[in-house]
Amino acid sequence: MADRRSLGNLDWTLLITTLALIGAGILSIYSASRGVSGSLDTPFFVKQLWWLFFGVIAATVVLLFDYRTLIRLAYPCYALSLLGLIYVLFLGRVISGAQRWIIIGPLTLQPSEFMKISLILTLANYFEQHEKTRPWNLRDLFIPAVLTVFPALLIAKEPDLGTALVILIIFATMAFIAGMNPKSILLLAIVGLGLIPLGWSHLMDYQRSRILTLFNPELDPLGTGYHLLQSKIAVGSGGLWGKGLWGGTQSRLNFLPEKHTDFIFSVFSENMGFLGSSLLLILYFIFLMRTIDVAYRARDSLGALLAGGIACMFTFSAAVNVAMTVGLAPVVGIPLPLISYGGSALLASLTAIGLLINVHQRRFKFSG
Amino acid sequence: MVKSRINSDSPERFQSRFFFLVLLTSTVFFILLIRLWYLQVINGSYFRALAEENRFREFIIKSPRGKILDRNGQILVDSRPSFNLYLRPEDVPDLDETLDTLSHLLDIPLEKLKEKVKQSPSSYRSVLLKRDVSRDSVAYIEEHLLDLPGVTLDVEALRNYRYGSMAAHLLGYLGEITDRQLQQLRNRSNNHYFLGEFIGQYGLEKAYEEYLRGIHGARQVEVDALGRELALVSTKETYPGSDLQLTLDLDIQRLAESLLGDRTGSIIVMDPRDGAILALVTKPSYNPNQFASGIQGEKWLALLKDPKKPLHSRALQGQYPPASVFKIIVAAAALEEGVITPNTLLGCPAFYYFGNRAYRNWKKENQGPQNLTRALATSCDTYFYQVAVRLGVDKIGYYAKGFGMGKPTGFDPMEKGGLVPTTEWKRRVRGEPWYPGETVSLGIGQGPYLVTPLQQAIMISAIANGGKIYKPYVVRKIVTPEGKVVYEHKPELVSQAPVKPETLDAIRKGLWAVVNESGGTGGRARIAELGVAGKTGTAQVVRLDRAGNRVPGSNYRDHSWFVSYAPFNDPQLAVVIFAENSGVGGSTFGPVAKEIFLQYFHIPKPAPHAPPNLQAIHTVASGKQNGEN
Repeated sequence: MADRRSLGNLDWTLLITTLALIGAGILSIYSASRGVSGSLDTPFFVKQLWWLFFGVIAATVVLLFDYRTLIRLAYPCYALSLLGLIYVLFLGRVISGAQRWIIIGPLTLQPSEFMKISLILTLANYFEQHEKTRPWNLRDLFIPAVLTVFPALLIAKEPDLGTALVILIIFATMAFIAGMNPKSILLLAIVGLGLIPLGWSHLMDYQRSRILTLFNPELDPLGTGYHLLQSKIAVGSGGLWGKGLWGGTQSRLNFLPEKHTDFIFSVFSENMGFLGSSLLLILYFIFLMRTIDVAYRARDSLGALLAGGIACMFTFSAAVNVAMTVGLAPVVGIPLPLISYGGSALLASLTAIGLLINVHQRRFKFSG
Repeated sequence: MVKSRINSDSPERFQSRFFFLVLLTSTVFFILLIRLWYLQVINGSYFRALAEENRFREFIIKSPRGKILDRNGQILVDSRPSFNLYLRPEDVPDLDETLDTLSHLLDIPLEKLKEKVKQSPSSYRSVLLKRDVSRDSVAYIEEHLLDLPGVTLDVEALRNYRYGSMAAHLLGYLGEITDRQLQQLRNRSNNHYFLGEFIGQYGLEKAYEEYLRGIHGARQVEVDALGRELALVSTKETYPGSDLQLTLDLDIQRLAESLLGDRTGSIIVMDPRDGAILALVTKPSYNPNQFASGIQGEKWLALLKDPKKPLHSRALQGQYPPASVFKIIVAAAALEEGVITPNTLLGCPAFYYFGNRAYRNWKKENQGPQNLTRALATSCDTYFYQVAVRLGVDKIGYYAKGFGMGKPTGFDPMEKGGLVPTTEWKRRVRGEPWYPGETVSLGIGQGPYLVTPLQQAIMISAIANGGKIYKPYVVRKIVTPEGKVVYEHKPELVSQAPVKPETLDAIRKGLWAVVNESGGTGGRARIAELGVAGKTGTAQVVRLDRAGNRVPGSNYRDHSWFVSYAPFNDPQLAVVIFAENSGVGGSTFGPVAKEIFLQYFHIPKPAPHAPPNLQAIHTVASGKQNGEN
């Protein structure tokens, strides 16, 4: 099943940009947590390196099997992730006011990260199974919608509005790739927009403020505005040249909130200046273009759907995260894939990249 | 090699959709790139400044304020260490218990303490719980510091007015800097004026703020987001303020304060030779120590609302009728204008008639014809009515101004100038001509005349020193901590009174007689060994409206004056005593002047019942007297 000619067909650009982004991430995590003294048993960047190791193994394993074979695991994966989400809801570890994590020995797992991949597999499988010659309309979307909304609600309840949002966007994009009727898209968008104020007005006051605080990842008395401002100060004060690898005062002195996770891009930008941050952004853009290219060149609609879902996951998360750190989007708590600290996220991202390479490798059809 | 793409499964529609995704992603990333350019390149320096602001905190180290000393180097005002109690919530294991202990110790309600702690922006930041903790509490806390983790005592210099309310109006007080002052001072100097600091707000503390203050130091530290101090970045040393050496004499001032007692009024002791002030008393007074650590609202309001107006600096700002003291001016005018000579005899009847009105003398019996000396000695009103009528209002006014009346002496920007009426003044203010009948009572210092006690001191000093009008002063020297003299006062002659020496001689003879001759109104100031000259005054007080007309039915108790100098032949000290609504004649304050002269010239007090040594008086006065009439 392993293709011997794989190495020659490997998408080197995808691989190199991926490794470069992870490298920039680990460097920034090291820089951000350098000042934090002793109380932590293992430094963040060391943990991240371990997760990188696991991630590479996972990606390699994924690479060994044709994605058409792997797709059989879609529903089991989905079921497992769903179980994880339900477990987390009742028994999960609470960190910073959110209940998102499962502790297994030394490992801290975040089921919502794995749910994203599982959902992409599941939806790709479903759309391919029910492939139609005519465009999809709203009625055809009922089952995939249920498959999406159920985990999204569980995740939103953790609360992790950012990931829930990513899940919904993945669904919308994959439905779009699968060939949804443009009229249906328009209708869905209008209905969705119409439901927001309606649902809002039916909420109790305390529920409303609870939802408002979802936008605020920390229970910080100075509020979301403080986070946004400090992030803008960090990015802006980097100037053209940056303050040097360990020179960022905003992160070193803790003015920057969530610096090794949601605001890792601010840390990088403060240290490396516009030269570094624009380079990172361009690097990320090349990486994203490669992911879309994989989808574009896929040999079948399953490959296109899988790669498209993954490309969408990366693109949306990255765009929203960077927009947030530069003050163009509200603080919704979406980490920057491959760069932010987070073991489950890195593992899931690398698995996804394994799948992408898988789709890329097997884009040619060989008869016999 | 088969390199051709076989995409039979991949429908065409996929490809156009991916193109849409690429377009969307490109647009978003282009916007993000522009945004980075905007934040980092265009506004980089702005955000860098904000980051620095986050990072550095400056703590000002206050410079020790200069002292204020009397003429002999005795400390009048200095600073004392006071202890402020701080609490750093982060270091307190059991906040409730600690606050409870402190609540009992400091006698502050628990709720108030909790409120203060709650207002702190960070638990790493120390909260000021109480300023100027009592000595007992400080002792207790220092002893139990180990049981009170997180509690610290911080020393702060508090202004200390060693003699409380003594000379309070002169010395002034400190108060919190106002927003406007902060703005002005920040623009004018780089001396670290900061919000909430105490600066001179009144009196010498205000006038000499720049000398007393010194130069504040500063400590710049790097802090983290929680306000923890991480590193010392730089320090700037403080430079202590300079000391003010006054002409004030602590002993004389204290004596004068006690002599005036509970009366409302003022005592000024001045060296007539250069205008140096040895004592400046205003009563009632207030204790500036209560301003030192910020006066509480109610106390300040009580001072403001007190009907006796303790904040009013009567010596400089109180304007009163000069009463019979003004006869000195009338006499000077009359002699200079040739209206009388020292020997001219004028009657001193019980009444003087002018127009349809009778103006009475303060004595009911006719005193017979008198010369100037006698008229001053007995303070004969009817004598001076006649003189005033012969002079007219404008000539009297000219000499009144010549002796410093009608405008501030220049001692303090806050002082008042009094009032010298003239025909021109009346036309301007009341739109009426001056009526001759009004001139009569000018002769005895009644009418619209107003003077401050300080102006009276300048006037009597000029009589004593040969007509020199000096600008009064109280700061003799300003000395830096290294002993360098940065300011030294030189006597400042403002003007010369327009009088001949003979005129002054004649007046001085009269003032001698006031104290030393039988029937003189100031006899109680007599000191056999010294030779005191003086003049009494008793003002009938009526309320005047703004135009200077009497408000009908208003009646107050009399004001009293006593102005004097000594020794007669070599005047070294002038003493002015004024008591508001005292209800007694000026002669009552003769003994007060006497006490001050005795103290200053170190003359032992005579035994209470010993008869006055008349022989000595006559010896001193020999050749200076004409016969009494």
